[in-house]
Amino acid sequence: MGATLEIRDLTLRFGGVTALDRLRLSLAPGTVLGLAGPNGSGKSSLINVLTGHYRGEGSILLDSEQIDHLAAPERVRLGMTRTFQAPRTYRRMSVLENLDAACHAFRPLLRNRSVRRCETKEMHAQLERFGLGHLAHALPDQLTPVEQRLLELARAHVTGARLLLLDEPAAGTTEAEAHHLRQVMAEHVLPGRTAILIEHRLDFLRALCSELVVLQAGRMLAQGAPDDVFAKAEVRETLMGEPVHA
Amino acid sequence: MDPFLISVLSNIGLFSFLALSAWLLLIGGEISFGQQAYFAFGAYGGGIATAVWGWPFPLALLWGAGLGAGVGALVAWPAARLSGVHYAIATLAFAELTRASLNVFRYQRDVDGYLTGPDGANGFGDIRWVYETGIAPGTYLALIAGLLFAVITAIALASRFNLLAQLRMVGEDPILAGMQGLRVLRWKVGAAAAAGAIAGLGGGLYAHLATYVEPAQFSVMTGVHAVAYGLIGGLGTALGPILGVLIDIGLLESLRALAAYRMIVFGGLVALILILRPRGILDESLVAKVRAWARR
Repeated sequence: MGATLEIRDLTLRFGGVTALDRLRLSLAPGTVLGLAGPNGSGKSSLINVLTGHYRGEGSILLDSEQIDHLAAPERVRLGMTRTFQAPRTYRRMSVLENLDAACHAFRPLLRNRSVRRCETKEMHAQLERFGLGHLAHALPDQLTPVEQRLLELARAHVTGARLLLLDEPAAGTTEAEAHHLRQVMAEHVLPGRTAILIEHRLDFLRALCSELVVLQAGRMLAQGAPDDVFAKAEVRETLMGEPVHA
Repeated sequence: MDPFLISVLSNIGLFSFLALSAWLLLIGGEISFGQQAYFAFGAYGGGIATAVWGWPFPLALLWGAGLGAGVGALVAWPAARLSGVHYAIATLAFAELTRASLNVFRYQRDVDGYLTGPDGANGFGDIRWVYETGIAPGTYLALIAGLLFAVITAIALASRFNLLAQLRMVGEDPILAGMQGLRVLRWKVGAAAAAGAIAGLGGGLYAHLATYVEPAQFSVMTGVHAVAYGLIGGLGTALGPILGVLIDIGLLESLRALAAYRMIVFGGLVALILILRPRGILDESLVAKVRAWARR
């Protein structure tokens, strides 16, 4: 079976700054790839190039189909979705409507009504699954930071996308909240999907990812199974500040 | 019915088209101070169609709406890449360009021995189809109300098919909407075309009731009022901008005791409502509460 996502020689420049430098990656179906690295190493830039918000050089293939010439909505329609480092929601729509919007936005127009009718129960069930059932009619601003993160995850889940791009889904949460998010992701979001997961919490990456890539200054510093990558001295120095002894 | 009341109600109906046009763009996240331009396209286009070309009235109205839609889409194609104040300025500039162009636009033809058609700053008179066919003011008011109802029904249908919700998504967060598969630029251009069509339809109706139009009637203040109607009445429902028109024309302009102070009271009202209810009287949360109450 071919790769779900393939990146060939992807380069992104902002003027004289190279954010991504000839990056090559291949994600087999079902892979959860962790992306670690210091701030400014190119993690979020990679997601932004994959979704079409930034245009880089090189090739991006989703299920063997070249997508780097497509705009963001076209890429999404082919089966990818993302979450944002700072959660984005429709502030004047309820939690349920936010979820509904994600589910229905790109369904065929004339089917919307019938689909909507039969799936409202399903949307409620999804909210229950993510622990947001009691907040269905609340506005996003009334949610706590962890609830907003859960809403982002629920939204990514209901799109049915094959490829998830998760940009620091536990940022700004406490240890206990991050643990809860980790459980929710492991149980509901990640099974059966291919994903790229950016996270600074190393335990998070270790628990959820089958592969890990460490970026530094837009280049790949290390790639492999999480435990192997974390064992490398240059990775420990970059991520944990441990000095490398000659 | 009292002729004054018919005249007031007709004006409320006509400006409701303009208000709905600006409202549609507001829920799509854009402020347009230029909807009066499409009203003018409808007025001049529809007027020329009946008075100069001798077209049937329904076809002239459709032509005016089509002109509004087409020009609306053409302007939105580049303008939709802008947002916020830049979009507002672009629409304002286009409307002023339209008004200035109408000041020098002459298209007069011999109709039954009289030169008929737009004559630059002197305006465009003799749009007499309504009077020549003997349509009573009350009947014309019913026609305005019927077409306004048709537009509101079309908006309600769009809401049923999730279209309005998707436009609101684009308006609230275009980046998120794009990430959920919505082609933001197309939505913005589509909304501008629909808004142009609504304004153009209103303009065509207005020209045939007034029988005379001139460029000065389509000034910046008309566009500012169009936006203010939605902001006062509320952005939660299509009835919001109509409520705004009712407050301005129905209350302030038509009550003779208040007429002299209209602009002062109206300006104060806009400021007050923007502070107390930034999304207008019938805002999204009030509409959601009413819907929840109705479901019980």
